[in-house]
Amino acid sequence: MSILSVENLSLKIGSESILNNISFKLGHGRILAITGESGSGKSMTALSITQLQPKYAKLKGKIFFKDQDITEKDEFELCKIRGAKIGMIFQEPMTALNPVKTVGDQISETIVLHSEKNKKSADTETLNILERVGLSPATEVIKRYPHELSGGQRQRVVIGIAIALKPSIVIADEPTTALDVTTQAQILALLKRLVKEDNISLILITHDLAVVSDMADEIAIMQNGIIVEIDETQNLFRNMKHPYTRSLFAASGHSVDLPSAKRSADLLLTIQNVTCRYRLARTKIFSKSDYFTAVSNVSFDIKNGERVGLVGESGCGKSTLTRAILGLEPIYEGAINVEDQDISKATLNTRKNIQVVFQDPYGSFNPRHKVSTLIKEPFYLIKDALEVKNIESKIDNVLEDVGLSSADKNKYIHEFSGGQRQRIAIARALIIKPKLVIFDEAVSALDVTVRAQILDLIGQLAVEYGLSYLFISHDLAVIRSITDRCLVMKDGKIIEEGLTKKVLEQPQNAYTKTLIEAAPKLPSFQMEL
Amino acid sequence: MKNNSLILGGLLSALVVIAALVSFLWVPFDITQLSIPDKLQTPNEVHWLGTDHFGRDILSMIMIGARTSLAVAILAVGIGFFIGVPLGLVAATKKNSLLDETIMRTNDLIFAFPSLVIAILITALFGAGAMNAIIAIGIFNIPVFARVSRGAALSLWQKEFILAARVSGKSDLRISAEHIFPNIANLLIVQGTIQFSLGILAEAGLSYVGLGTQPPVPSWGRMLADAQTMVSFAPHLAIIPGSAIIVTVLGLNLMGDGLRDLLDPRVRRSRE
Repeated sequence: MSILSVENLSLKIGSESILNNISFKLGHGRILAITGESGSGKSMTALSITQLQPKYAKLKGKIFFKDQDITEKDEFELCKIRGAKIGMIFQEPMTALNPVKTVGDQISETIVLHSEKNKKSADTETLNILERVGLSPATEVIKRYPHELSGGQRQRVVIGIAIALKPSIVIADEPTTALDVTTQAQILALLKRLVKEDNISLILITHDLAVVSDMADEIAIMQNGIIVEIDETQNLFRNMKHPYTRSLFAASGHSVDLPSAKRSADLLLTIQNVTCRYRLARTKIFSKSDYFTAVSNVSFDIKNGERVGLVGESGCGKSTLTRAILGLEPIYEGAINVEDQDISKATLNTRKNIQVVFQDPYGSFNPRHKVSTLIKEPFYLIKDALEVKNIESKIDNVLEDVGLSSADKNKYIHEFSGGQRQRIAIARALIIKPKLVIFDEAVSALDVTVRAQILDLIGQLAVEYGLSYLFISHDLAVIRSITDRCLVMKDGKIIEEGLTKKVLEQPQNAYTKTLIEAAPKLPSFQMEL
Repeated sequence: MKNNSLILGGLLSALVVIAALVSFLWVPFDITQLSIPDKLQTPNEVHWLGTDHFGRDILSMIMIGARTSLAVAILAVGIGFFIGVPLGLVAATKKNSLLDETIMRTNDLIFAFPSLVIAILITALFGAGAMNAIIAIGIFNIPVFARVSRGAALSLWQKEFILAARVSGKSDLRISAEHIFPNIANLLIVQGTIQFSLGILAEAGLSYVGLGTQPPVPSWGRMLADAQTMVSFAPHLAIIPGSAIIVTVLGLNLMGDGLRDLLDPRVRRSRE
């Protein structure tokens, strides 16, 4: 018998249909994964199950939890179910926890709220729960505040709150998306163990097929508010009846067809023993300042035509290094040269050789300017900007090169989707024909199918424009598909470097090995496409 | 839902502005002509708002007083805006530098004094008069605008489109003018309307103690001061200029609230 059964669920906001006739059943102790791209309605499905959908949304259909229709319950009854019978785990553990309460208080609060227990016995139980989620009492996590914990530890606390009352169902909405790969592997293993121990039914919502394939008993693929395919994991991957499932799978394992580039021996970028450090806030008013070394003694170079990747987890110093290369960050020691000119003293003429594409397609543009104004901004690097001829035709050309139309130049940035914005960002970087482009996590915020398109575009434009690039990413699959050579960075140091294929297949360094093992992989029992 | 506070605030403010503009062309009675026989009339069909102890028409005085109040407030806010905003933007570009510290600590110093007391001090030192009142009120507007613009600019400097502009080789000054200022203009407009209403209150306060606009130019604050001794037998002398101040300040505050809602996309969405 199933513990949760959703029947013909439809949800409308205004006249827009968000969910359309969703039906599925969840069995005892089973893991159901709901996967799809952004806007497919997977989060809204989760919110509907707990009746937390926005107030202005109109819901139709039935949701049975242990033979009771949740949609007919009033707020008071729902509060008894939420937290106690149905636990929730959210994407961002920092915002899911209250920053001014200790994590121990936040767990015991859930226990006191939903059971007859007093504060004292709740505290003892909290200790047990923390131990179950892998936070040993010796670390005294119970007395700490959320900001004193790492991202992985915080997510463990959130999981602790969700399982505190031994709920029948746990809904996890993108529980590992905000975490590094090595942490992600640990959190997924933890979830898997807890679900088994307590016989919990888990609904796992994620955009990442690779994560799902290893965890779920059953997978539902969603597109535009419809479940296009739902089946046992093995069967789903073997059969892939629906074309959308196939395209999603193909995009997840997408590999760019990188033509071999003409390489020369000329050094484009040389980085010699570069160290960057920040001053930390003083602890006492007259005490000496401490420094945090973000990048320590890093050296490498990029030759003309090379496509180099830089891999590392959050906090490894990638962003600081990027800014240093762009000349936006002071260097404490060492030197960064672009074509034998020191970047910190470089003239505009040298700086015009380097451009950048950032991660966030929403924050990279001034919302008050038109596209044409936005992408011609780098012309300030060229002397006598106004006299650069044919600016308009250059704008048209570059827009067409990145797959947009020249009519798009008169629009404002909010009229474009995330993928289109990233194309505009690439257009802005390419318009003055730089020699080196730095892609700083440029595809991390995109859905898999869009990501595959953008990667193809980058590969193709690099050849057309004769580009070298430094592609910074935490995603090994992306690095594998788009670079010839790669560097692995940890704690501000380069710990391994070599040809991409060699580094990823025969890693020498222990950290590189864990990184590769932790990365979720698509199943190999693939059917013939 | 309609933006009611903006509409009501706009109407009240417009009323005051129109009264002030009309007074340049026409007022019901010439207020330089004293007419003792007509003194202390309560509102009637000839003198709509009555007359004061010299027999001057109160409606005419209120209209000309509106002109003074608005002029002082506009100039004072202007001083604060045109000096404070650039200071704030410069402080934000040089975050945590000596320049930033100097600007912001000087601001703190000005903030630490009660504004009206210092305004009294300034006018006492340099003589009473509308011009000195403007300068005194204006000085206290500078740190307000500097702080608001620095705070908003600092968060913008973290945005990636600013980094992109820096990679394009634009100078800090140019980025401040082209990217930062247009994106904080909303905030500054809202702050401007609030400072404007505070400016009108401050002008009335200074005139009340005799340090603002000098006779014979009428001013709402001095009309209140003159009415003080006669309030027991001619209360309308105090009620009318007092109401004028209330209407103006209320109108501007409502308009500020309404503008903030209109210009803030988050509030705008939740209203829809």
